[in-house]
Amino acid sequence: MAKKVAVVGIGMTENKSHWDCSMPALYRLAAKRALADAGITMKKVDAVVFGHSPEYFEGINHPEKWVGEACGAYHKPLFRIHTGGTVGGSTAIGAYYAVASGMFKTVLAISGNKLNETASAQIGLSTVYDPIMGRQFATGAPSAVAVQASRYYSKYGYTDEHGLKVAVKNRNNALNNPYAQLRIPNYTLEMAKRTPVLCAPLRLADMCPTSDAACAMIFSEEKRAQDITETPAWVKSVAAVCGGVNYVDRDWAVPIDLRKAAEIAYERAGITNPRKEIDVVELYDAFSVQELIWSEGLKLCDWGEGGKLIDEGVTYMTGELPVNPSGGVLSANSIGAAAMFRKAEAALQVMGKAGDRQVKDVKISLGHGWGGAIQFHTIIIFSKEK
Amino acid sequence: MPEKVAIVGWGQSRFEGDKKDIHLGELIYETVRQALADTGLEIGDIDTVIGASCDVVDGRSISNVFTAEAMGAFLKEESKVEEDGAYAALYAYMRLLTGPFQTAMVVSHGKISESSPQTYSGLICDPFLLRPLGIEAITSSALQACSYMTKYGITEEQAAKVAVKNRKNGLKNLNAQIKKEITVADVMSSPVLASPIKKYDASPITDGCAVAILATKKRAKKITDTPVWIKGVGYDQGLYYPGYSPLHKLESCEIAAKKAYKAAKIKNPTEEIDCAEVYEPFSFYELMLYEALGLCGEGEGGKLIDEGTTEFGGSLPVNTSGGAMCANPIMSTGLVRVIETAMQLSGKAGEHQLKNKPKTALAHSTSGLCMQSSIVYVLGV
Repeated sequence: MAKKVAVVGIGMTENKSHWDCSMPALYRLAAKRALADAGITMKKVDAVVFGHSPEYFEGINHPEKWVGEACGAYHKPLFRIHTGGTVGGSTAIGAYYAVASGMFKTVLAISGNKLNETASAQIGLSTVYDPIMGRQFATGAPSAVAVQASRYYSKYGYTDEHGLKVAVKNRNNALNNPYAQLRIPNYTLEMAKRTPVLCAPLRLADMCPTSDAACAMIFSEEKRAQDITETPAWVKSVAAVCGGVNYVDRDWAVPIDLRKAAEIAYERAGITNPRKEIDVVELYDAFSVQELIWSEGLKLCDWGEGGKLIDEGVTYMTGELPVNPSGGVLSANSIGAAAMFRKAEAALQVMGKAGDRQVKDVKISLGHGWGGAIQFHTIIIFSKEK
Repeated sequence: MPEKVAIVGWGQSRFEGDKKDIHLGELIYETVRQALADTGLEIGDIDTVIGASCDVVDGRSISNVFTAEAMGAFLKEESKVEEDGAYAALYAYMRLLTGPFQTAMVVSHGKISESSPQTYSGLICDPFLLRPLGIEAITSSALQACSYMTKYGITEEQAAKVAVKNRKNGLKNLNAQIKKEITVADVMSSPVLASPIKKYDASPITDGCAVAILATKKRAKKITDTPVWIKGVGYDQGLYYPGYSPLHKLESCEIAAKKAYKAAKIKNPTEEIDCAEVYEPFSFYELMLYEALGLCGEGEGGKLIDEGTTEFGGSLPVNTSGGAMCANPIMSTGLVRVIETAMQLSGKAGEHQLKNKPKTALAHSTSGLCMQSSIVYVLGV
């Protein structure tokens, strides 16, 4: 049966244009920082799980072959995971299973992308669509999420101001995060409203930036975890659920795939009232409106009440349940690392190591990610207590 | 960790050079249905699905976006390994060992005819050092073949014997793409692709899909009377740049094999392994793999094929299915090795079933240029 697993070290690179280093160097930086954080060397790491998003971004096939040894995977067991935007989450979950299965004691999960090396991330993402049916009208991620936003706003009577409020909240949170890319002082709703519409109803302010970044997490079994650190982030549960794309009654405002993932994760973690029991959430807000929709999927509120969370201030740093204290994906999106940043940020919160973005007295935290055509969802729930 | 997880069923598409008549989704769906029929399970009985595919093979970013539903993964716990299906089976194995799941389905697929193996392997090269050289799978493998043959005095004829043996084995395999008996003289006179590799030393271009269903001990025995147990698995990734480590041997495979043997408590592989399926994209690789897997001593790969040990009727048959020489569906080739091994062990290999049903067998897969990464399974009944 499952061994107890904890995160014992975290390494992040800054989210920005890393013109000064190659992809292996970027991954290496994250790996070195994670090892330093845990106070161990690669000798103690038994295996590596490697994440990276579409090969078309950097034009490298099987990047784990080139980049693996820079992460310290010299003659180590390594396999690669790729699930699109949520790959960082899928990779962390892969590392969890590698330890929980009893196959390895300590495993490094690492994931990233150098989006600035792609001619256009949106061209890369447009080739997600089936070449026979779908690619003809594909225009990247914003067009799909614009449909999702329109559906959500009209279904529940919200307006684009609800999305923009999320953007303002998260961008202000990002000021406390040295790894975030967009750190705009005194960002206000008026400033957000003045940004141009890129794909109605989405404005520039509703969208994430383009970043280069890598993130690494070290997972360890119970005994070794306690030897390594006094503040391990215990993994209470993981879940990764796949939804569908091309079915006619898909309601973009009702993420049943995320709901399924949340129900599995809560059941395994013994959580019955997520809104009360979870102290902080990091979710994948590549577009502002998604924070509201995912909050519903995650059962932080009822269906249709996501907009109220932001109106009532529940999810602010000062609120009852802070969401994205790091500034979220809206403040930094490397795609390959973005979902692992969510998990790593959630782990830092229970470890009490989140610096200026630390939420007080965090016992349980949740990290989420989405990928594919908004149908792959990953969740990890961390706990301060074993 | 012996006898905790078993392979209980499988499906293989017909392997063909150019599956123009079938959409990728249909190909996957049909093969998944075949595997479910093999086990008598419904899709609702599958707890988790692990896919294996590659963006560059399929020409799709995030290759599983539109294929996950065909795999039956809708609203299931799913993930995707961007390596050969044998690595996806490893992840499925880890998930089953962990506990929340009783059954797992591994689905690997690729239609490389819509891309090209040269594009696929050439793009593995980094933009700074390797790509300007213009090398890819055939040329990098040719360099490795030269290094190996020079070091140990292996001849081109000995490599050709592998191509002849495997193509002969493939005649009996219903799923094989290449069904043509050839001679050593045919191989030697076939056009040179990159010396010393000639056309008949190379595997074909193949489209296809493979599916394996794994189950925990408790569930496996309810599904089938002939479960095939995963006795041990080892995997390893070596150095990236060909030549930074010795090219005349397969270091990652040696390490992977040692780990697999240790887990399966195998001390003397030549005695204890009854048959093997290995991923040999080019004929000479099979000789190198004999050595790396400890099926013979260092430099003795050529001797092993000369003595007929690895032939269908030999004492340690290798690639009774015909191997990659008869079908090389990139992303599935390694999973097919695992499936073919399970078929032999369960006595379900049909026309190419070994007369003395094996009890312990080995399956190997690889990924990267010059076999940078390897995975080795020891399976048993």
